[in-house]
Amino acid sequence: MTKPMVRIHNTETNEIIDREMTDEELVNYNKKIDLYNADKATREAAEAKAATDKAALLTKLGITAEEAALLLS
Amino acid sequence: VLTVNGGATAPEWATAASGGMTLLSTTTLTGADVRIQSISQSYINLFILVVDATLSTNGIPRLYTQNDVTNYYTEQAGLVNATAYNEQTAAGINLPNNVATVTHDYAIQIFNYTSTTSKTFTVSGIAFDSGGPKKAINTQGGYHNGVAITEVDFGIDGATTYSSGTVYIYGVK
Repeated sequence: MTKPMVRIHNTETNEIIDREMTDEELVNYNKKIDLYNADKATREAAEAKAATDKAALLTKLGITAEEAALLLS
Repeated sequence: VLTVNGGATAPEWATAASGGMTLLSTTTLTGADVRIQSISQSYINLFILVVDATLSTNGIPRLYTQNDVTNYYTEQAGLVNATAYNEQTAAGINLPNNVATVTHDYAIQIFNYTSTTSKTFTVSGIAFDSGGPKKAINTQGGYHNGVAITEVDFGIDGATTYSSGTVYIYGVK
């Protein structure tokens, strides 16, 4: 299986190399993606919980989101 | 700057002591990761322009320094198709979300990049399609890893690649 391509540009010599990632680079590349996706999943879960909690509270209070916004304005 | 030397017969050009911008490199974006290395340490700030970037499939372009996975803290805010958008992450520096074929452009500043403590940065970016998605995003944040920045890396959030785009890096005094 081919690995993702990386471009290396040395600004001192202006040498540009296009090649497949090394094993070490591939590990780092996957770490970046995994960390970003984990970060995103945590944030989306928090946002979903906040939305659920808000809806539950509005039901408990017996008012709509628009009415709640009016109260807080 | 143009200077006049008392003993000279004509004005002379001289290197500006401050305020000047020098183009350090021009790099075409391609592949899954573009690492721009050996950046001169002779300036105060870096100004980076990314022009007409596109991806092969939908994804989020991401900026890193020193090919480092962590040590960032960023907040991104703006408009996505006229809806307010906000996102925080410690996993690299977000560039505007992008639909593959929509051209996106960024102006990036990294302040005090030779510092061995914290470096701050700002990113102003836009992804614009007159008949489709429109995204205007500002990102601010920092990077702290104890070494000066000698490398900036343009990565992606997943299994896609850069189709086009040019990165211009300027040193600012």
